[in-house]
Order: sequence, then structure tokens, then C-alpha cells
Amino acid sequence: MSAQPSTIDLARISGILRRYRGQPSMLLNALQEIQSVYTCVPPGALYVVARELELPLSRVFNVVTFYAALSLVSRGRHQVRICVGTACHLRGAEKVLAAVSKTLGIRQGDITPDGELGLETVNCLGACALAPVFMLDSKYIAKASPKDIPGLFPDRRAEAALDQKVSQAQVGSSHGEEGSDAPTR
Amino acid sequence: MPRLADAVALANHRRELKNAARHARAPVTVCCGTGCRAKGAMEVFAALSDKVGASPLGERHEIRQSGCRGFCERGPMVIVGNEELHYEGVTPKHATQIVQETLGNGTVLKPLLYRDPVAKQMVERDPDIPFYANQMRLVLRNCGRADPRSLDDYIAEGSYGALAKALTTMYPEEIIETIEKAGLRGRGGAGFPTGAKWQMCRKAPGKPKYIICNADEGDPGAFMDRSVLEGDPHSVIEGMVIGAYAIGASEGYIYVRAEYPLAVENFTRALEQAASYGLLGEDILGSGFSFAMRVQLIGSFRQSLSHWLGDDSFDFNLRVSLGGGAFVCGEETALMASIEGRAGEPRPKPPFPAQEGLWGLPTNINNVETWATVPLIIERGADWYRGIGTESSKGTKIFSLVGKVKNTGLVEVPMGTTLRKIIFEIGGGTLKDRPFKAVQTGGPSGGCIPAEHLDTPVDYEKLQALGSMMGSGGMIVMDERTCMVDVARYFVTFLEGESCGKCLPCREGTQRIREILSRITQGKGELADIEQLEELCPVIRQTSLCGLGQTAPNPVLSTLRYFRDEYMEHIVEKRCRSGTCKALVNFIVLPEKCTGCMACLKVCPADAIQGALKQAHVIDPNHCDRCGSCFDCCRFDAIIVQ
Repeated sequence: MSAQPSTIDLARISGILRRYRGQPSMLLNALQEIQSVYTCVPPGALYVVARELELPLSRVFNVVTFYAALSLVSRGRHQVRICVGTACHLRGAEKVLAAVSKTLGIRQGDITPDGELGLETVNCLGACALAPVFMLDSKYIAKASPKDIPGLFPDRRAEAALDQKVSQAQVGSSHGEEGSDAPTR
Repeated sequence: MPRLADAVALANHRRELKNAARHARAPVTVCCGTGCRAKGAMEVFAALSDKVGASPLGERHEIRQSGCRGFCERGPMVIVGNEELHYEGVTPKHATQIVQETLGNGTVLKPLLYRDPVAKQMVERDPDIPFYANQMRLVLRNCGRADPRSLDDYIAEGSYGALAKALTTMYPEEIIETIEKAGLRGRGGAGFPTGAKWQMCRKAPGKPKYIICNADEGDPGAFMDRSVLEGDPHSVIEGMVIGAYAIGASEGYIYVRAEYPLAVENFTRALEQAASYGLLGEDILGSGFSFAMRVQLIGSFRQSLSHWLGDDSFDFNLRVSLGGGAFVCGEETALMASIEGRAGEPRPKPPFPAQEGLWGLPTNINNVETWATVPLIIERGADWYRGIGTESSKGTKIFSLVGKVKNTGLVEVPMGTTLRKIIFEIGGGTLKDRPFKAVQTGGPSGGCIPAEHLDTPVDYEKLQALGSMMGSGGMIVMDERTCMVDVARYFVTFLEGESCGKCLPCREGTQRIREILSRITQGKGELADIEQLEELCPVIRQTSLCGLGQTAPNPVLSTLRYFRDEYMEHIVEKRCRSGTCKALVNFIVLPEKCTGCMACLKVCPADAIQGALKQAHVIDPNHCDRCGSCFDCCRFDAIIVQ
């Protein structure tokens, strides 16, 4: 991963772990908190976590690699999460994923070279009426049409897309339509 | 608000709230669930508050927020006044109009009304809309009415009445008997009788006992748990406290996906408020019974996590602990492993969680909808509840109606309602009225039910007989433009990714199935593939440890059962009639039907269509990338799959 800094300052980790010292059951909490600071769980941190929480290193590695929420490589400062749930799949999620991937120039699971944006898929956002839907950080972009996507990410930057106040749904589906079908399947 | 000392104090408080409500201003309620927010509901709320606040109308009208109303397709929704006018697709620009014309002059704004696609006419009042009128909203009764930020709203609607009744007038055994007699079955999927489960946990030796609310709604296409947690968190809390009292549990957990930030926010706030009223925590309503709750978040929303991580204001043993987001964690033993900080892998049962659960102690796990049903049964009695539903399945069930259907949303109906009524009367039929092909129920490991079984009354047994299942209540509608082989491939790919990898048949078997199905959708299928699928599926079903593996072959088996001809078409004729499988599709324009409207020309991303206005267009197969955009947009059925 090109955007992964070659050396990571692990100084903040001991601060985080102070609250969890000697509590093996708090492993997931500790790892999530580390991930929220570093945008990943740096591999070097695993040893420290194992020592402080009094757990075998294998257990820590097992948990980090099991959960989709945890990652050993950086996820990017902002995240695009494309819903690929069933409702979105039927209404064209694959097309949306392809369009975002093309616009950002990265594949699913990767981050942009500047470390700004990560592209991921998510199983269901529970917003099936907005299908196909994706999220940019905590903002929902509803009834996404592949045609609109290049315009959403000018200069491939997250800030511009986050700044647009009302989501695409307002623009995309005018009132009174009988639930617009996806532009593509 | 001081603590409510006992049940009498609660009843008095409720009476005061109801008296005050009689003199209250007429409500203008903006739905602020996840769906409506994504479409700009908060901006609508701000604009309405602004306009009303600045005018004398503010003395007569109050702008309110509500939780998810379940009709997300039509958001943002605004329900106006005591007459409950239903406005949909509202934007901040409409605020002035609504305030001046509807609130000021009493004029109904016709363009904002719902237009019923079946009867083809406008509907003014919210309760008259067929989507709502044909439902029986019991569990969802407060969703979309009360403001999730205000506990008093729920108390005025009757919340915590069942808790007071249970704590002051019922023995724990009596509560369990009532739930057993009511015939409530688990709403999370398997349909195990809830009363029997509670009884087992109550009788198990060991202390303390735990109860868990499973809100790891991992089924793609199901969002009833999100909606209930957002719109009526107090029913879930009330149900859990009643359950804890009946079972003898002292601590509870809720395991909720962090993909639902608003649900987490509303639920956590509700916990805080319930605790400050003395409805949770030490000595609940002066009964001497104590119960504490913890929220376990799973998933990867850093925004919501940082918010909760920094908050130490909970004084009733509410600590936010975090999990990681995996479908298999919906399985109860895997879920408990995750709460304990381990990888969420299921283990063999017995011992059942009721005997050896969380930290090796007796534990009872129920799903959000099950917990939310409990207060209703306690309040209105087992006989009332038994009167709803079918012989084997009692009460109502919430379905999330999604896919190629007009009215996407949450639908609560009595058990035994037919699929046809749900999809065509409440759901308004298929999108663009294209022919219905199948409905998929039960989540990724459910099955696809074809049109000839549309008149089946829905309950646990009937769905199973059709090769599908109830699951958590996802109902995904598919029309003629959905490829059933692709759907089976999609579900198996999902399950392959979510298999925890512990058992070989599930780990390797789902992979083999996915490979075979992918081959078929790419036009490389052989007849022997079908034989192999039919041999592989029963093996996976019989030899996997948990529900994920045991039901993983369902999507394949049910599509093979009802749509074998589509598999054959893919394999023998190398053709996909729905236009989905790229390798097997050629789109052509029928010159006699083409009006030359140029619509397809404009949507084609590959510029593969040639033609001029009012002249028949032609698709160049060499440039066409088979995306199907033209096929979808043509209003004259002039583009077909060859």
C-alpha cells in the first residue's frame, strides 16, 4: 500500500492501552480505538496490544484478521462505502462500484495514492429504499447513477463531495415518480 | 426529571402528559429516519421550524421530529396537523408553501400528496394510504409518531405500562407462562418459541444471568431492526427489562451494527433517559429489581465510534464496547464470542446459551423485534395476541419489502397474510409494472418463491415448505429483468465471504458453488454442473455446524427447483433472457417498434448506438459493453435481448 507511511509513530498506542491493561475481553475495543487513530491497526502495534492485554499474539492476529472492521493496512482518511446489499444489487450496485472505482482510479479495498480516500463495499446499509446507495463518511448518496458520479468527486477529493449539502437523491429523483428504476442494472 | 419512585408515580406522570397533550399545539411531524435524512429531512425540519417560528402560526402548530415511518421510498415525509395530511418528497423550498397555504389557509397542496399506483388517485390522509391502511402496525405502533429524543412522548403513548404491570402484579413465572401461552416465536430467523427459551434460562443454575438483544441485522435487504431502534427504542428496552425480571438476569447487552449510526444514537439516548427516570438501573420503579445495560457496537464507523468513545456520562454501567462486523456474528454463539472479545466463530450446541452462554453463564438472546413485542403481550394479554396470526405462527411480523417494488418500505402484517397482498396491495406492485418473477425471503440463505405461489399465506412453516424461510423478514421482489442464476450467484458469493471458515463443507463448499455458478453466468456452463450442484448442496446442508452453512445451499436449491429452465437456457442456449449476464447478452433494436426518440442514445455510456431523431436506432455490437442502460430506459419495448 503506497500511502502507508513507512514508519508509524506508535507513541499514542500506550495511552490508548492504559485503559485496557490486563483486560483480555476488551481486545476489540482496544483494536477499534487504535484503528480510529491510525486508520488501521499497524502491524507493529499487535505485539504491544498482546503484551498489555495479556493475550497470546496469535489471538490478537486472529481477531484483527477476522473482523471486516479492522485492517492491518490503512483505509484512508475518508471512506467511500458502496452498499452491495441485495436491494442495491438488483438496482445496479455493481455499476455504481465500477463508476466510483473508475472516477477515483482505485479498486475496491484500495486507497488513493494521497491516502485521502478509501473505497470499500458494505453488505447492507439498511437504507434499501435509497438503492443503489453509497456513503461518503457519514453522508448518504441515494439512488446513485453512474452518470452523476464523476461530478461528485471533482479532483477526486472527498471534501468537495462532502460539501454538497443536500444529497444526490434530491437532484436525482424528482417528486411524483413511481420509484425510479435504476438507470442501469 | 426526577426518578419515578414507583408504578403510581409513572401512572401520574402519564396522566399529566396526556392532560397537557389535550391543550397542545397541532403537530407537524417530519420523519427523521435514516432514509428521509439521506434525502434532506433535517433541512426540511429546519426550514419548517424557521418559517413557523417567525409567524404567529407558531402558537397553534408545533414542528416535530419522528423516527422512521417505514415508507422510505417517499421521503422526506411530513405529516401535517391532527387530520394527518401526508406530504411526501418535501424539500426545504416547500416549507413556505406548507406554512402559508396549509397551516395558514387550510389548503391541501396537491403536488405533495401520495398518488396510489393501483387506484391511480391522490390520497390526502396518511392513514388512508393503502401502504399503511393494509398493515397492522403493532410493533411499529410508535415508529413515526413519537419523537425518539423524548421519553415523555413514549410514556404518553403508553410505554413502560407493561413494565409497571409486570414488576408490580406478576411473578416471573407468570410472565414466562404468558409469553409461552401467547405463542411468541423468535423473530430473528429460526422461530424458536420465546417462552420456552426464557424458561430454560430461568431454570439453569449459575449467576449472574445475562440477556442480549441481537441487533446485528446482517441480512442484506432487511432493515426492520434499524427502524425499530430508531423509531421506538423504548419498546426494546421495556421488553428487555421485563425479560430480565422474568429470567432473573441482572445485566443486558445490545449488540448493534455500527452501520446504523442513527439507531445507535437514538438507542443510547433512550437508555440514558430511561435510567434517569428510574426505569433502568438500580431498584426499577421501586420494585427492588435492578438491571443494567451495555451497548456493543459492531462495524467500522469511525465517526460514530469517536463520538461514543469519548462519552463517559453514563452512570448506570453503560459502557460502549465494540465488535467488528461479520454476518456470522448474528449466530448466537458467535455473537457471544464477539462480545467476549474473540473472533466470532460459532461453536457446537449443546450446551445451549441458556445453559452456558456469555462468560460461561446462562444467557438469553432474542432479536430486536422479539423484545419489542414483549411489552404488547404483557399489556394486552396472551389471549389477545393468540387471536392474531395462524395456527402455528402467532402475532404480526415486520417485512422489509425491497427490490423491484414500487413502495419500498417496512410492512407489518398479521402472520398468514398472502405474499400477493403484501407485494401488490401494500407494495403497489412491481416497478414499471413489469411482470413479477419471484420474491426472495429469509435473507441470503433463504429461497426464491415464484409467481404460482403468490397466494401462499406467510408463516414459518409455509415458507419452509416452499424451500425458503422466514429469516428476519427480508422480502426482495424480482421482476422479469432479474436473472435467477445471477441472484443465486450473488447470495452464494455473499455467504462465501461471510463464512467464518471453521467448517470445511461451508468454507470450501460455498466456494465451489460460486465457481460453478460464475461459470454458468459467463456462458461456460455444462450440463454436468447442475448434477454437481445437486450433489454438493445436500452435503453442505448436512455437515455444517451452524445455520450459515446449513442454509447456504438454499438460494441454489430453490432457484433450481423453480427456475431450472433459466439454468438450462444459460447452459444450452448460452442465453440470459433477463439481459443481466453480460457474456450471454446481445441487445438489438426492433426497427418496427423504435420511435427514434434518442433516449437510449443519450444514456449509452459507450456511444454504441447510432441513429437520428425519428429514425430507428441501431446498436453496434462491437462497441456495446452490455450494460443494459438502453434496455432499461426504452419506453417502447423496442430494445430486446437476443
